[in-house]
Parts: sequence; C-alpha cells; structure tokens
Amino acid sequence: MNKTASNLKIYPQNRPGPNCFRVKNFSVRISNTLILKKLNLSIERNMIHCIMGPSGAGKSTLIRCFNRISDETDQLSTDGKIFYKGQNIFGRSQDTSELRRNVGMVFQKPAVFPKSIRENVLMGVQYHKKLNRVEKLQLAEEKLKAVSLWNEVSHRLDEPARSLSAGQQQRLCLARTLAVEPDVILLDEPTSALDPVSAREVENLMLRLKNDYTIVFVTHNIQQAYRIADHVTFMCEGKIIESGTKDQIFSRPNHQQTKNYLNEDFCDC
Amino acid sequence: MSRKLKNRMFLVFCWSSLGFSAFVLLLLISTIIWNGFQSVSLEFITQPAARFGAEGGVLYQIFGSLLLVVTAAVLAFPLALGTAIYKSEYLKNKRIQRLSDILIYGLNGIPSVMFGIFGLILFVNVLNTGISWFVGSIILGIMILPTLVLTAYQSINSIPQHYRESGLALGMNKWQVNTQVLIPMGIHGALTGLLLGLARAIGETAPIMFIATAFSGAGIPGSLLEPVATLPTHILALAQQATDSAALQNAWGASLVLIALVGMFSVSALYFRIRYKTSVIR
Repeated sequence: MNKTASNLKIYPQNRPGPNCFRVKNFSVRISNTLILKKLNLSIERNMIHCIMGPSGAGKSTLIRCFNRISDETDQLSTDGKIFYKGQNIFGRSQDTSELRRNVGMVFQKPAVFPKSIRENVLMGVQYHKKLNRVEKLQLAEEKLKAVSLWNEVSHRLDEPARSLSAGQQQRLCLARTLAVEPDVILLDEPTSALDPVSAREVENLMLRLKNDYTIVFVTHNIQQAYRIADHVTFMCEGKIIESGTKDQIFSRPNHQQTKNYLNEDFCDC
Repeated sequence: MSRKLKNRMFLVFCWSSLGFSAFVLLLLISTIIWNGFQSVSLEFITQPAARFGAEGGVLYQIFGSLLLVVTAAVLAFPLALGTAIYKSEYLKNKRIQRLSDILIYGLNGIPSVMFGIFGLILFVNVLNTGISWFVGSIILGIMILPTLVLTAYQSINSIPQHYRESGLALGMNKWQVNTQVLIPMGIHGALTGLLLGLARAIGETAPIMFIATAFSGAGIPGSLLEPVATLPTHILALAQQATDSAALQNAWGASLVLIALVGMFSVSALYFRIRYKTSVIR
C-alpha cells in the first residue's frame, strides 16, 4: 500500500500558501431562490475536508462551484468570490477547462463512458497531453493501481467498463480523475450509491490519497465524516454553521445546531 | 358495476383492440404475399422490366428505390444529428425551443404530396434540373428529417446529466463531450430513427412521382440529373393498367418486394433498439 502511495508522488506541485480554496462572501441563487448565503470558508491543502449537513443544505451546490461545473446548472447565478491559488475562479479570464484539469471531481453516481476500461482511464488526459502507446499503458496501470482496481481488471482492460460493478465503476471514475493529475479532488457523496463494502474501499482510498491531493468530500453521513475527515464544515439551510478540525467539531462543537445534528441526526436551523 | 367486472371488461377491450389491429395487418400482408408469390422468383428480382412491366422483373426498380433512400439518409442524417445536438445541448431559450418543436412537428404533418409539388416547382421548374433522382433524394431527405431529428434528440437528451458533467469535470470541452460521450451513447437511438424514417421513405410515391422517376427506360443513372425507376411508382403504373392481367400480377409481385424491403428496415431498427439498448446508471 505504501509503495503505491509513493508512486503517486511523481508530480511535485508548486503550492503557494497553505490555503487551497478561499471562499469569500459567496452566494448562489438558482432562479431567484437563494441557495447559498454569503459563505466564507478556507480549504487547506493535503487534507480531507468534509462538508457535512442534512439534505438540502447546499453542500452539493457549494462543491460544484469549486470547479465551476455549476455553470451547467440552468439559471444559476453567483455573487462573491472563490479563490483558487490566489485567483478568483469566477473571474472573467478563468478558463474552465484549465480549472477542471487542476480540480477534478467524482460524482454521486458513477458515469463510465461506453468504452473499454482502459479508454475510460485515459478519457480526460488524452486531450491535455500527448502520450504514446507505452505511456498510455503505464499511466492506465499506475492509476488503476492507485485506486486498487488493477488486480481486479488487469486481465480485461479492453472489456467494456459497463461490465464492472457499481463500486468498481466508481473507483474507475476516480482513476480517470487521477489520470488528469489534478491538485484537488472534489467528491460529491461518492459512496451514497454504493454498498457498504465498496463505500469503505472508497473511504480507505481517500485516506491514502490525501498525502498527495487536497480532498473535498461532501457527505450527509456523520459516521463517514468522522472516519475520514481532517477538517469538517457543517452546513445547514445554505449557511455554514461551523467549520473546524474534526476534533473540534465532534468533541466540542460551539453551536447548538451542530450538537443537535451530531446527536440526533437532525437539524432545526 | 363491480370492480372485478370493470377490470375484466377493460382486459377484454385491450385484447380485442390488439386482435383487431393484428387481424387487419395480417389480412393486408397475407393478401400481398398470396398474390405476390405467384410472380416473385429469382428472375423477377434480377431482371429489368420488359413490355412496360407486364413481363420481366423489377431489378432497376429495387436499385432505384434503394439509391433514393440511401442518398436521402446520407443527406439527412448528419443534418438531423447536428440539429438534435444543438437542440439538446445548446438551445437553452425556452421560447426558441418551443418554436423549433412547432416547426419540426409542423414539417412532420405536411402531406407527402406537398413535398412532391414543392420539389416540382423549386427544382424542376425554377432551378430547371429536370426529372432527377438526386432531387428526389433531397425531397425524401427533407421529408424524413423531422422523424430523424426527434428520435436523435430523444436519444441524446435522455442521457443523464452526470455523463455530461463527468466529461466536463475531466477538463474536456463541450465539443469533446459531444463527440466522445454523447454521440457514442446516443447514436443507436438515432440510427433506429433513421431506419424507421427510411422504411417510410422507401414506400412513398407522392413526393417522388413528379420529380425523380420515370416509368420505362430508366436504368442505372449516369449523372445526378437523370431519373430512376422505383418500386412504388412502378406499382402505381402497373395497377393503372388493370386490364392487362400480366401487368396486374407483376404489380402484386412488386408490392411483395417493397413490403419485404420495408420489413427489412423495420426489423433492423428493432434489432438496433434491442441490441444496443443503452444500459446507463441513472
């Protein structure tokens, strides 16, 4: 396991400052309904940052803004700023393809493309980098190993990716994201469509990958946040109620709402 | 009335509807097969017509019909796919979307003889092309365009949103997502629509009878501006010589060949739909 993790460190990145994302007075409206209300938040590097909260809290809306996949939502408008590496990603000069190369994302449901397993891993990266045949093979192997899928699929890389189980498909989606060599990985409830065993596998992967990537993980599952998070943000009704280290949020939360949510799994904000 | 009785009556109604539809279809097809079989033979489909269709076969008619619809498909399919992608992926304005729907359904509702008259006036008279098989293909292409656009649109638009987003999240641009994700996933539905469109087009008489076909003397065309012979117009001409029993017999034979061609398109459409039914996680 350690060997795989060290293999991943072949892309040293220049990382200015301790913060990866800085959210400043950020609001989102979808067709005139205020979904996110003046959020302020910092996301630190090389940590697992869990965004936790009940459904409808705006967790997904927030995480979808970090790589501007939110642009795909109809009638969504933003106000305020999100800085990534010191640059406002909602600025006019931002190239969204470039941003998404650095900020990868895995969704709730695995969406493998109707191609082979190998082609799925190389799907994104082939547009960003010229790779020859050997490099492609190496990259596919390396990334499939990084998500612990290699042993399961090494003998059938040319088979359709649809033939994999849902858990395997989700790990394939993660491998595909890693192949683009991002700096940050956003995960929007990546385990909610998976069985408990597959979900644990994804969690363990996160713990291994956090040395090399900044991970933002959205979940409504308190236990899951407790298992993997370094830093936790609790959201409710479009507001950030509280944000802090895992110990701080789980052992001595400052707000009554956070206590309620942690104890009773409900929120009255 | 008791609940059970209602249930029973509804079931009887459904079954009898199905039975009646199947009966009409079977009656029609069995009449054609019964009458057509007497003239269909290997010679009938491999020899050109002689003595104004009363003797010989329908080789050039089969060729002409296939040439017309295949060319129509080549012309219409890319256009339909492009329209469908634009409608599904780029057109966000609800009002224009509704307008485009009205136009497409409107085009679908135009009686086929109008297409023939339109082709006659625009191409044959104004542009002075003369009777031309290529003009016939263009007109057939326009005629099947709405079917093609609607099926391609349905097929692409029904791909779940997270496939698009997954592509974009890998840093692919919209063009790459369209060509690498959406078209491969939606093409089977679009092809099914194409085959259904062609099954309709190959049986049409009205749009091509004034502009693309000749009854006798047409063989394999040497240029775009020559007429061809086709099965439906051939059947029409033979049926009009009803006093000549040999000609009438061959009209039945030609009908059977035409039905077989339509059946082939329909069955391949069905095959495509079943074979490539997209199994996506929704």
